[in-house]
Amino acid sequence: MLVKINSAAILGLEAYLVEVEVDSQKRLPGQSIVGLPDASVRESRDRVRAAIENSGFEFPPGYFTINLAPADTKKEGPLYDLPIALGMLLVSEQILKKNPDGTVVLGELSLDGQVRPINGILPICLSLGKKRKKVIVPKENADEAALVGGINVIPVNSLREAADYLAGNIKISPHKVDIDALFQSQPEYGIDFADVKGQGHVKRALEVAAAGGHNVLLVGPPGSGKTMLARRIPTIMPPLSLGEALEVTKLFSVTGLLHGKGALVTNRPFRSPHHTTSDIGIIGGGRIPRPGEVSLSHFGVLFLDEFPEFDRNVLEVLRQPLEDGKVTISRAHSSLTYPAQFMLVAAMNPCPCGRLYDFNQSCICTPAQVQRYWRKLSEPLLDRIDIQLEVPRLKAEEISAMPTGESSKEIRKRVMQARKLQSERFKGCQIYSNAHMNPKQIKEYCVLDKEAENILKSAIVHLKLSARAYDKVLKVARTIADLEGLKSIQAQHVAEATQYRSLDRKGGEF
Amino acid sequence: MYRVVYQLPFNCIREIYMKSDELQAWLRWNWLKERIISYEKVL
Repeated sequence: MLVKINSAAILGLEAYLVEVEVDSQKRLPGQSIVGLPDASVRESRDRVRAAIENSGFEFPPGYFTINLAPADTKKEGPLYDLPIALGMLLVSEQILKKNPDGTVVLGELSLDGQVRPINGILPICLSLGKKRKKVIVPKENADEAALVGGINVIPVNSLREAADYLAGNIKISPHKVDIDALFQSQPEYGIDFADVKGQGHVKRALEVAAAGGHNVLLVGPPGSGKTMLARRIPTIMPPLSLGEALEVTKLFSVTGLLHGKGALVTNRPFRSPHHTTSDIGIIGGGRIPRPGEVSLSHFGVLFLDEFPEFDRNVLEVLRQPLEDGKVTISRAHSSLTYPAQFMLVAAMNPCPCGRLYDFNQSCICTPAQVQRYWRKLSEPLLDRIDIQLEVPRLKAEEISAMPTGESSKEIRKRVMQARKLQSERFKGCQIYSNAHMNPKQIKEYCVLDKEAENILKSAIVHLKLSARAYDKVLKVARTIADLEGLKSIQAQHVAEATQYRSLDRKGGEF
Repeated sequence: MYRVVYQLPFNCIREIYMKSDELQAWLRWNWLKERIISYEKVL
């Protein structure tokens, strides 16, 4: 006898339908799972047996062949436990299916028959929602699944409950969530720019960076507040729109980072991977491809502390997502694309010991060590960082003083205003912020008046700004003018923008 | 012509020479002015 139950598999951020076929034969007892299952799917045999027996059913005798179709794509994860168990109960006629066919069943089983949550429910429901109208999901995933309108989400706690529902013995009303209420109830970040003592010019530069989506490099000695400042950047960025929140939630869902964090990610992500992270950890991939840190920072901030301590190849792989806003991972059998529109905030010491250029302490690094340290940052990578900033050590009076300055809320208002101007400017374009302007757009939108042009020329000559700094200064000046709500870029905007190219003017000191 | 002592990031000091009108333009804008440590006429 043969029974078919629908389930799903994830490929990247998309899902496709998987048919779980269970066939029983009167042979010596045994089971085989076919259809390219990975180890976690193969192990479901033992979970399913225990769950069936501990749920008050009888583990059916005979030989079971379980096929996960289509058979030419790899299946991974424990999400087939529940459909396999239900299939075995149906095929052994311990339950009789009364509910309509076409229901998609997803869930991991514990040995006592409880249904455990799984990863990737949101992308599955989004992809299958148009074709299938009913999904049986673990209760803990119900809110996430119900974010997708137009499908009936049936939450179940246990195998027994799922079996009773399929047999028509119990009724479970479809789970609903109020997306607007969920979206409105954004948790507070719990940190604020007003907490930071001193560093007025850095706060201002980070406001400009958040307004224009510019990547930032913070250079300063240990304890100068680089990490503290970076962690507060999401608090001044505009809130996520519902569409953005759903996209971020999909990425968190497939990676399994959503458990315990609610059904919807409503705050901008802030990811801070350790400098020992591998290139696959940063960019994504692996045997079974997963989104990397650049994708988990989508619409948020990727903070790389101790920037030169990252492996050279890790730093170099950042170049493509910084340019394209997405990552494509190619494998022999398929190619996956994950979004990666993030703001890069990198922080580093000026030298390995951190005391270079510090008047109060003497540096113990040799010139060769300092050169080696800086050489890890390639020119093409630095080229993608619009704002380079010095973060000096705080003075004694600043450390003992109370924190002063504007709150994140006040700064965010200006940032949102500037972003609004940019979204109007780039309507119909592929970009959303000044940082992503191409040379043609720079020419069109960054027109300088005579005075501004003279200041820029003079700064380039006297401060020895490099040729590449020219476009960067123009882009940043455009953002500064947007923060003031001005259509034209003026001299004061250029004067400020030239201050954010610390490394271009170093004149070979490093 | 003016000799201008200018404070760069990372405690680097640079001596630059600029014409009067250029210096006046730099002094007009706070972001540049606050980095100028001193200036004197040399020619």
